[in-house]
Amino acid sequence: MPLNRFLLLMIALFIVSLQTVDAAQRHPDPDGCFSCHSLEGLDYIDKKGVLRSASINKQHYYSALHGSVPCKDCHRQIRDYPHKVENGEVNCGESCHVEEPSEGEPYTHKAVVKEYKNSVHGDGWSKGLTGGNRLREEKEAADPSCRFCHPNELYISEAELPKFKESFDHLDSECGSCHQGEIWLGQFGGHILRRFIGSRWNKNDHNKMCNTCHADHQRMANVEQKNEKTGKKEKVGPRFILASDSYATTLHGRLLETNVMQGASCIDCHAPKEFRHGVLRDEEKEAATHTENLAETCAQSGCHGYATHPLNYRFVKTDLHDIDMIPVINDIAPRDQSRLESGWVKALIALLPIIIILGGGSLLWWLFGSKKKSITFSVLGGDAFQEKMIGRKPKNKVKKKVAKKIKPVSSSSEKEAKDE
Amino acid sequence: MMKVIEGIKAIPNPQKYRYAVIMASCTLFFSPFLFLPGLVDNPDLCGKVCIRRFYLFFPGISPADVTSKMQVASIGVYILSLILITTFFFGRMWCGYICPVGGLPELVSRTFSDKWKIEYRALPQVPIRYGYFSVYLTLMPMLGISACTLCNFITIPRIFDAFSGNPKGLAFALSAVGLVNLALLFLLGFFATKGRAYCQFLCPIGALDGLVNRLGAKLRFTRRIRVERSRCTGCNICARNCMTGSIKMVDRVAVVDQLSCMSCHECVDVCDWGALDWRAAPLDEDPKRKKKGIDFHPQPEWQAVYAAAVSKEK
Repeated sequence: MPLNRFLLLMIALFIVSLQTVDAAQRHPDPDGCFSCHSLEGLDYIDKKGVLRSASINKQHYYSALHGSVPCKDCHRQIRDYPHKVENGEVNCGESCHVEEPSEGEPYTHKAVVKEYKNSVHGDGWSKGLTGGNRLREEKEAADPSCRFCHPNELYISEAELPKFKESFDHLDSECGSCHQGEIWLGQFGGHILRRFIGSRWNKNDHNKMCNTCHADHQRMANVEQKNEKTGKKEKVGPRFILASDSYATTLHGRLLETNVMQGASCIDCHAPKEFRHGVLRDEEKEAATHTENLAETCAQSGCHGYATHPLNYRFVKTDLHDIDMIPVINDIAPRDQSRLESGWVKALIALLPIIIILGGGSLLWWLFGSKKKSITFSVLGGDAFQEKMIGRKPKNKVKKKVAKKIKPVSSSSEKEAKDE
Repeated sequence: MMKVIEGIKAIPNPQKYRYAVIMASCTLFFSPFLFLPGLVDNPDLCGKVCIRRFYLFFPGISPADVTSKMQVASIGVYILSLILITTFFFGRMWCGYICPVGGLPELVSRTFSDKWKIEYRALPQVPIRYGYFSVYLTLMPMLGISACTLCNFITIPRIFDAFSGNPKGLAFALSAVGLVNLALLFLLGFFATKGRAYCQFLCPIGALDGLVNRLGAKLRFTRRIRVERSRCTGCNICARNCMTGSIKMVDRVAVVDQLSCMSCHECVDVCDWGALDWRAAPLDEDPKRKKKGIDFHPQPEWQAVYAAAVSKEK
């Protein structure tokens, strides 16, 4: 091998090794957790006898949402090792790793957790999150935990990465003209840029998240809600159970289904404000879907701006979870007789006899009727058509009139004959 | 079987082509092929291809709201404009020849006996149609009654879906609203004489299209179904065959109502006297050959609008 080629190879290898060093530096492990947890096959059997894996795949972790955060920033109670399982618990409401540079205070999810705690899903877990609790949290708890909806997924999706890289190259010129200094550009540039490029979750992702539970009829049928009048907990009705299905029939749902993003997602109406975690029951006064707040909710920017106009007060009350749009036959139908009282069902009962008569007549004509070409007029309205549109007297009417004229004459003549 | 073939043979040629186009458009617009909506990744005739929702009026609506509604149904806006422009010059080509939603009930209805149908054509269709249209445009949106609930652009494609085994179609056909829509399809479509009652009374596109049709009919260069009054014998075969009930015999002469006429051409095909034609009126209104004010050969008038004819005669 010629010397300069060898040199080139060495230089190339050196550059590659430099890059790996760089990558490792970007994801520090100051607490040394990976000295154990990066080992493959770090399994144990917990108190319930379930086999658990404590191995963490470095690559997966680094590419995840919190991949650049040192372990102990969240797992705070771990002081030394080996540690107890309970000490590994995470509380999402605590302050955390990054310092917000304009205020100089550590960033925290506290406000989000507070909003979430006040919401209908507030009984879900926001603390005590460990690998060991995952089964209880996912299967036994009725409400979703933080982790249920926010799994530690990729910070920037693969589809967005090229766009992100391109913009990241221009960060100095675009953002740097105002926000100078390493903290802003280095630590927050990427953070903020990612949000600009497109939030990781679009409306369809939101709906998909809600539908993991709400589209599951069996699961929803087990939900109990407090009855405001009696104060007792009662099982929810079909309207609640089928909410996801009825939403899908509305224009809101149908637009999103075809990727027209002007449609409204679940969250757009049920938790439009603040951190978008505050889903409340319609009955509660603070709820975005409460009768008094509906106009404001519908009139959000880019939606139905006219909704606040007083004449539109009925429009605002349009039923967007109309169970009359959902099949009559479905898995929760047996215990739902209330749907038969709907106006649509009554209309159908009124229309059916006419259809049966006309359909029966048509069928008989098809089977036995004469196919000779002749002018036929309809039984229903045929006479009116002849009189008004063609301008001729219907044949049967002409006959009737003649008969009427004859009758009195004959009867009177009979009377006269009798009298005589 | 022979009878069926004979029946088909008896259909006038232009009508055969019209039926064929409607059948083709059913396969292009509806499941399972769904070719045309599929071009824009739409599973049906809703959403961005909806042509009947973006012009709804709400009290307090701002220009920004209108633009946003038009953006949602961007393709629908183009389609409707195209329909209306064609209508202005050539008559209601979309309604009469292409629209699968109106065409399907018509074709089905034509296979049944006229005796077992409801004759809607004698009803005052213009006041009913525009009365409902104004309710549809302003009152229903204001009251929060969804324009989509009774939309046959949902119903008919969904029923096609149901037949092609698509669960979505079945889901709609089995819902309370879907069943009522299905019943209305029977009553206003299959069991209506000539099957066009929905078009006559409820279709908002038809109402808009009718207005444009009437507007264009005033001009002489537009193609419309026009009557040459001097040739009409008053046999009323055109009125009996008119699917939209727009031909009425007034003083034993056929008169076409351009608010309802779809230029389907059937009256032209059945008229033995050539008194009706789908054509432009002769552009020179005054007869060329004149001698001392007396016409040797009166030029045919080819009137599209009756009111003008009456005022002239007077």
